[in-house]
Amino acid sequence: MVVLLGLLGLQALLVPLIGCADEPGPERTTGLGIASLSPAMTTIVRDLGAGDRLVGRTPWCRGVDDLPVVGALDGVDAEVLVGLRPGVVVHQPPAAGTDPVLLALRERVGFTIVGGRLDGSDDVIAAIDALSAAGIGDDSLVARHRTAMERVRSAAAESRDDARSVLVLFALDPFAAAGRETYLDEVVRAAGGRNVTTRPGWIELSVEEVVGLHPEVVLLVSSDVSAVDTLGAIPWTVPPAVVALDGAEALEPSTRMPDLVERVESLLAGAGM
Amino acid sequence: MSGSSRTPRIPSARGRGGIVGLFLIAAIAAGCRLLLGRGIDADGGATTVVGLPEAVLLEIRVSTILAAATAGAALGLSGLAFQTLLRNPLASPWVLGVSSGAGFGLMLAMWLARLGGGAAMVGGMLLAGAGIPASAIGALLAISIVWMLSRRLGGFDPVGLVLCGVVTSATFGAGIMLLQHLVPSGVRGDLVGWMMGRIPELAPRWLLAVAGGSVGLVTIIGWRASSMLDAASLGDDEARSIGVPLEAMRRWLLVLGGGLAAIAVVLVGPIAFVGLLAPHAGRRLTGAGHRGVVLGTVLAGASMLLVADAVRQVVDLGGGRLPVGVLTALVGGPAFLGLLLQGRGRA
Repeated sequence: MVVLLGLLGLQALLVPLIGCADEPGPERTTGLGIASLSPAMTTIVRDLGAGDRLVGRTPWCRGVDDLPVVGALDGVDAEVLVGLRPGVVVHQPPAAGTDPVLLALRERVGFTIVGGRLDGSDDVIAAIDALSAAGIGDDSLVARHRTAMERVRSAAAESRDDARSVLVLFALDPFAAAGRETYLDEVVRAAGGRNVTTRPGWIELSVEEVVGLHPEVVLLVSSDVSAVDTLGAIPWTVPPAVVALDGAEALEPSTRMPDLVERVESLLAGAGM
Repeated sequence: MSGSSRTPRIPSARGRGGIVGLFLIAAIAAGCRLLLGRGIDADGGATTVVGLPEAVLLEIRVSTILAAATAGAALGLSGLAFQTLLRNPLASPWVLGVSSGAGFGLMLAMWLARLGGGAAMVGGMLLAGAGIPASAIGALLAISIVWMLSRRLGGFDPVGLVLCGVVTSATFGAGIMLLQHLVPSGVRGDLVGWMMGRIPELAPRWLLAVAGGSVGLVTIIGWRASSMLDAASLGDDEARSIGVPLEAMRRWLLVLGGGLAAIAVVLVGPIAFVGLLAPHAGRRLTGAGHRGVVLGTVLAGASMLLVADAVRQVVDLGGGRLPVGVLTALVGGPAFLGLLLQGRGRA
């Protein structure tokens, strides 16, 4: 019982100690560094010419392998983040909202949090604006990427209903397709195609549904080349042209979207569109 | 409490030694965690650092230690309650579907948040503070369902409870899969992160206070009721013959064990094996009497999670620190197997 009372007493002493740091503490010096908790935001920051300011990353960020990991699926590494003294933390908040640990660290360390969901060109443009407002990025690159993104948005909005039908598959077992109102739907529309699916979101399809959609082109987003053979085994009524889009970047809405549209445009042209 | 005379008020010398030993282990683990952390090396990379840090980092470490110790103790006590209730040494805090219920609550809130309108508002409220309300409601819903099903089955007998727990867990698991099917693929990853378990480095003070207070309260209740728990371990007839109110005790074990499991899952997520192994460590080191086992389990559970959190500060395989749930599963799996094999050896 003495031990128990001791433990409870220790907890009672330590809990208020945590609270002490809720009070405004001494000013901390935060640098110009950017810690990224989102691979897509890392790409955007690099494209805006601020890659040399990146000081922290996630395990999935590309092109910044030499930086320390500050956050993964299980959350933020608070001590590394504090140690890096970033001026800005960029992220895509999960469905449950911004991590309370990150918010608590912001109060204590004084960095700025920039970011939001990236589900299409509107979101990427908003991210570019937010980063620019936070003093991130070269003005000319910001303007160039913003213009390019606006062009994608306009092209997607102008897509015609009589454009050739495209089924965008990103998994084959089971079949998973990019439905309407998704980022890849926007890419296909901007590239001159028409998403053959009518449902919104990321959808799972049976073989019957895939065949019944009668796509003229199947755009396969996969790094697995053997996946094309799997599609060849499907009993199509009229076999569609199958084109493969390689790379994880294709599944990541970022400032690379205009390049992706160009690649898809060229693939669709090669498929007879 | 007629069973009181059968059990000494104070644990045996072995029990006292075990408690002191476990207290020392917990204190050393907490000390190691206080001194072990993560920092930036001269090349700008993340590295393990040893020593007392500056104020902000010290606060992070103290908060982490409190969260780990409290969650570990809650998991251990919950596991002990269920092992006693179900008379099954392999029962864990998740046997009655508490973690599935919490996961379902989170997924439901994430789905609601994407629907728009009033549903999105409700979802947003449930997801406040990284989903604390959603997981708490889900966990308590699971316990309530097990409670109601058990009552409908005629009581709180061990076999009926396990069956109710399995059904509840499976149903919530199916619900999670259904909701995962309905949400965009990106949202699914959020649940994966939660399932890995995480020790919050700056947990809300109120949550730490509620969790710590609950663990303390249940420890006192367990300590006071240790004679009854000892008698109940002998068998139904023996327990009743010495006046132990078996039904009432089982109801309390279900409520307290389930409540602590709910607190733990809200605080750190569904971390595996700690709740299963801590009671065994407590028994092994303090003897069979529940007076010592209760305290031993609290200390063992706290030590396990503190050690796991300290170890993960030095294990970085290139993707950042190892998630704590992965570490407990990697160590707990073989330990669980060892328990099974040891059990067979004795049989």
